[in-house]
Amino acid sequence: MRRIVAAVLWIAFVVALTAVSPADCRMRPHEKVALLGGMDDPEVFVWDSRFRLAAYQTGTYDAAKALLPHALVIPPGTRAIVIACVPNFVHPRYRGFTDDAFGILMLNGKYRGRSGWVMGQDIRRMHFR
Amino acid sequence: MKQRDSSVKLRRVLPVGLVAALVVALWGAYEAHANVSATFDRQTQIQQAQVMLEEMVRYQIDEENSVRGYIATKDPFYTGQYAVAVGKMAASERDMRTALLAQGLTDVQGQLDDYVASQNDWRAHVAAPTIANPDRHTDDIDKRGKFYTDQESAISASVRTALADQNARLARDTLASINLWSLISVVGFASFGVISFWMANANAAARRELGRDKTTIETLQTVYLSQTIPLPYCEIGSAYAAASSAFAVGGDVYDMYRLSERNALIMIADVSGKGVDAAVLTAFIKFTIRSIALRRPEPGRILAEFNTAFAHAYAVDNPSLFVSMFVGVLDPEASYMQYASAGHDSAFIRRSNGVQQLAVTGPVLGVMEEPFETRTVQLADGDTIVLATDGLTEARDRDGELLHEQGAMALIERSSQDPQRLADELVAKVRSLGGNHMRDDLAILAVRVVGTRGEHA
Repeated sequence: MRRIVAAVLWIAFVVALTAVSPADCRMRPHEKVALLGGMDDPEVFVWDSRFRLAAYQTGTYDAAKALLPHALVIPPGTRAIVIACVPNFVHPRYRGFTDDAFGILMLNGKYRGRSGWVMGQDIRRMHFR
Repeated sequence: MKQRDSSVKLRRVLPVGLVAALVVALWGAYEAHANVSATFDRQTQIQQAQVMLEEMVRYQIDEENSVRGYIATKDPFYTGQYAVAVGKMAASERDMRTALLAQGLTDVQGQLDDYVASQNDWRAHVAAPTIANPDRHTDDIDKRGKFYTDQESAISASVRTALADQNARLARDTLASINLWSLISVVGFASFGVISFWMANANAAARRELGRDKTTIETLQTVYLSQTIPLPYCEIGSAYAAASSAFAVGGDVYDMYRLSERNALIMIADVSGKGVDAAVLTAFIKFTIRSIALRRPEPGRILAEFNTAFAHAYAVDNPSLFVSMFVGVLDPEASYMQYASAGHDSAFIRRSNGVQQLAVTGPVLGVMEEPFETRTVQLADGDTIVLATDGLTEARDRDGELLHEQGAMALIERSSQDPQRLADELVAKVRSLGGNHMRDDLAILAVRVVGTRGEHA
């Protein structure tokens, strides 16, 4: 009986661990990722602050445009490593979902060694040597 | 009596309810149909807006690809393609604004404004400097390009969602509205059916009631109409036909009565009303006239006395009630007849040389106190006195044409010599004129003088 209860609790624990929503820091610090935007424009904005990242997504057209000097345009495929995650931090103005803010450190390209903040939808888990 | 009154009122109200139920049912059906049509129209507009949006996005991508193509090749073909895409995008934007305005989607119109502003900024700050100097590549232009693309992608996604929501809301509202109007229509049709059933029952009951009334009246008429009695020097025929409609039965009466060895009373009358009351009134007429005639066998005096009695007994309480009457006192042996006519013009004598109408000698009874003139006509052997009610002269053919006195006289002239056959033929002729339908009661009394010593007047 004790073994059955232990098995049920273990299953519940595993389900609880895996049952996370997409916008719930699905990638953990130290995971290696590649930057990739949407299909229309695969380049990615990397922001110097997670608050500016959020303000760009939630702000008005003019407010968002005023923030551009604080962003880097990174070509798709640039490699990075996750260094932080703040769940459900970004609320895009025109989209009906929230997204995580990921802190990353870029591992190659023109801005190798620079860190910044991106939305969860702009990074993909990548297994590379 | 109260129950009968309420039944009559109900029968008057039911047709109004029937029409109202039908109107409600048709109204509900019409509204349901109108809702479906309106929804189709609005959904078509929404779909047009969705198509226009996708076209704008496609032209936006065409513009961006044209600029990229120009950067890569420096071929002016791409600047031409860029200009074409700009023009087409403007046309799609106009169409989309028209569709949004028709739908009243002001929120979406605001988003479309942002979309267009972003694309114009892109043209001014990214496309124009890039086409002017394709070799000059700056981070600022890259950032602006990314910014405008982000904005437009987000806005177009939002507009897509808003249009889809509007479409779903429209379908939901329309379904609710159709359900409501369908329910109203079903209730209307159900009410129509119930009221129709109710009316059919009420009409059947009314027909049964009228049938009973008609039977009662016909029975009364049969009882009150006189049997032909033998008179010296006379052959007698009579006929009575009730109206086809139970509403038109009652009120005709004729009588023959032997007043003495020499004299006989002949009388025919028509009461202005119909129904059981009029049928009962004929009994009063018949027996009152007989009693007066026994005391004063002079037609003018008979009518005058009856007029007074009738006015006191009936006409005072019912101003619209009157009676037309012909009274004759016949002396067949002496070959003459004294007569008086109270507004009764369907009285004729058929002689060997034609048919003569007997004149009216006073007004109808029950209207005013007037003396009635008595006239005398001589009768020859073979002359036939034909008395009828207005069912003869007011008979109509299938086209609605009245027979009138001239038509009646022509019919009498062509009829058989035998008085009974004459009476039967007149009834048959009137029945056939109306297509086997009797509009009114018809009573005929025919008296043929035979074997007398008299001369024509």
